[in-house]
Amino acid sequence: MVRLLALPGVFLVVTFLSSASSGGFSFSVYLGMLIVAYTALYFSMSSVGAEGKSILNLYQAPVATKDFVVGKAMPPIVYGSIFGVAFYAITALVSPGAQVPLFLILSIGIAVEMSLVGLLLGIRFPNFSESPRANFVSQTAGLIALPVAAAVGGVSLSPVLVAALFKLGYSDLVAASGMSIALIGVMSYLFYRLSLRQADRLLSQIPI
Amino acid sequence: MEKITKNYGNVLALNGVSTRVEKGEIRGLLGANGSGKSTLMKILLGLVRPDDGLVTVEEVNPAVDSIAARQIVGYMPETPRLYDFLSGIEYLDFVADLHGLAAEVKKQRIDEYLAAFDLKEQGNDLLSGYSMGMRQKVAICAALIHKPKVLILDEPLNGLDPRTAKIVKDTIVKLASDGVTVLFSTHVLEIAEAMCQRILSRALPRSGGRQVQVLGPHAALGQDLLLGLRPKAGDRVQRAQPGAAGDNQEGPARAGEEEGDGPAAGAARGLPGGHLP
Repeated sequence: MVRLLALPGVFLVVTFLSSASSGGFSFSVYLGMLIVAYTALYFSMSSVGAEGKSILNLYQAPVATKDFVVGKAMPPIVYGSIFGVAFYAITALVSPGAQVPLFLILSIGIAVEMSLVGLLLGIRFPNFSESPRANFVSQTAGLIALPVAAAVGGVSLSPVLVAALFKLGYSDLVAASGMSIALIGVMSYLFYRLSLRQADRLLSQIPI
Repeated sequence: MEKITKNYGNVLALNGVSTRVEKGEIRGLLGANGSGKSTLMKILLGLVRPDDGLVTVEEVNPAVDSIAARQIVGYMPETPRLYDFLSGIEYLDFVADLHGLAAEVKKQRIDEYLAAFDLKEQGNDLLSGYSMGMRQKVAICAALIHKPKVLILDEPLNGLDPRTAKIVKDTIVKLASDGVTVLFSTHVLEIAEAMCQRILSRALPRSGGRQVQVLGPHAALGQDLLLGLRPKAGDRVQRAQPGAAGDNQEGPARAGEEEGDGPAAGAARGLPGGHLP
C-alpha cells in the first residue's frame, strides 16, 4: 500500500516544488483540477451501483427523482470540493499568487460538473450485482467515462486553457475564468437535466 | 385490480388478474414459487408497471403516481435488503427520513416498533450481525414506520422461528383490526389457512371446505395464482358448501383465452370484490 501511494505522493511533491521553483503561477496547478475532476467523477459514477441490491430501499420509499439525483450528486460535489480546497490551499502556501483563488473557484465548478457527468453515466449504466464482486457500473461506462469527462471538461475549461497556452495577462485570465465558469454552468445544467431523465427511467421500474 | 397482465419477455407472469381488497382485510396471496405473487405486489407498489389493466390503491394509480402510492403503502420484500453497515436503529432512522417523518415522531415510532418486535436490546447492533428472523422483523418495522394504510408483505414468515412468526402474525391481525389493509404472500397453504379465516378455493383438496378464487390463468407456467381472504371483523363467515363451491369457481384457465372471459374473470365476477357471497 505504501508503495502504491508513493508514486502519486512523489508526483504531488514534485508538482508543488516545481511550482515553487518557478517563482509563481505554474501550469502544474492544473493538476489540482485533474484530481478534483477524477475524484468527483469516480465517486458519482459509482454512487448508484454501489447501492447494490439495497437500492430496493430507495424504491420502497417515496423518493422523488429530483431528490434522488440531488442526493446522489451532493457527496461527490462535497468530496471533490474538499480536494480542491485542500490542493489550492497548499498551492497558495507554496506558491502564492493572484491566480490561485480563480483556480479554486474553477475547481469547485469542475467538481459540480464532473459529479453530474459521472452521475449520468452511473444512472445510465448501473451495475447492481454484488457477486462475484461489485462493479458499480457496467464496462461501457468504464470505457466511455474518461473520454466523455475529458471532452466535457476540455470544452468548459477551453477559455482558461487558451489563456494559459498563450500566456495572456491576469485580466485576460480573469475574463477567461468567467467564461469557463459560465460554460461549466451550462454543461452542469445540461447533465443535470439528462440525469433527471435517466433517473426517471431507472426509478420507474425496479431493475433487480 | 382490473385485468392486470404482465409479461417478462416471453414469460407470462400475470394474465388478466382482477380482484378488489377492502379496507381492513387480510388477504393472502397463495401460489407456487414463480406464480406471479411478487410481481402482483410490486405492481401495487408501482415498482413494476403492468402491461395492461388498471390498479388503484386508495384512489391512487401506482403506475401513474408511484410516489403517492409508496406514501400509503408499506412493503416488505421477500428478501429484505438492509444496509449491513448500519445498526437497526440507524436503518429505521434512515427509512423514516426517506418518508419525511419529523424527528420526534421518528424516534417514538422506532422505539415503539423495536419494543413490539423484541429488538430493543439489539437496536444498536450492526445489522450484519442480525439473524434472518431479526432482519425480517427490522424489515417489517421499516414497512410500518410511516403508518401505511396498506401493508404488503412478501413471504413475511419465511425462515422465522415459531415465536417470531407468532409475533408477526399477531401484528398483522392487530393492524387489520386497526383498519390497515394487509396483503401477504405465501406459497405454504398451512400459513394461508392459519392467517385467513376463509380461502376462496375449490382447487385445493386440503383447503378444508374453504374456497379459493382462481385469479389468473398461468398456463404458461403451469401454475395458478390463488388468493385467500380474511374477512373484516363482524363479517359473516361462510363455509363453502360441497358442490355449491363450483358455482363460483372453475378450473384453471389456459393461455390464449380472451381476457375477461377466462375462468379467472369468471371467478372474479362470481365473487365481486373478492368477497364471499
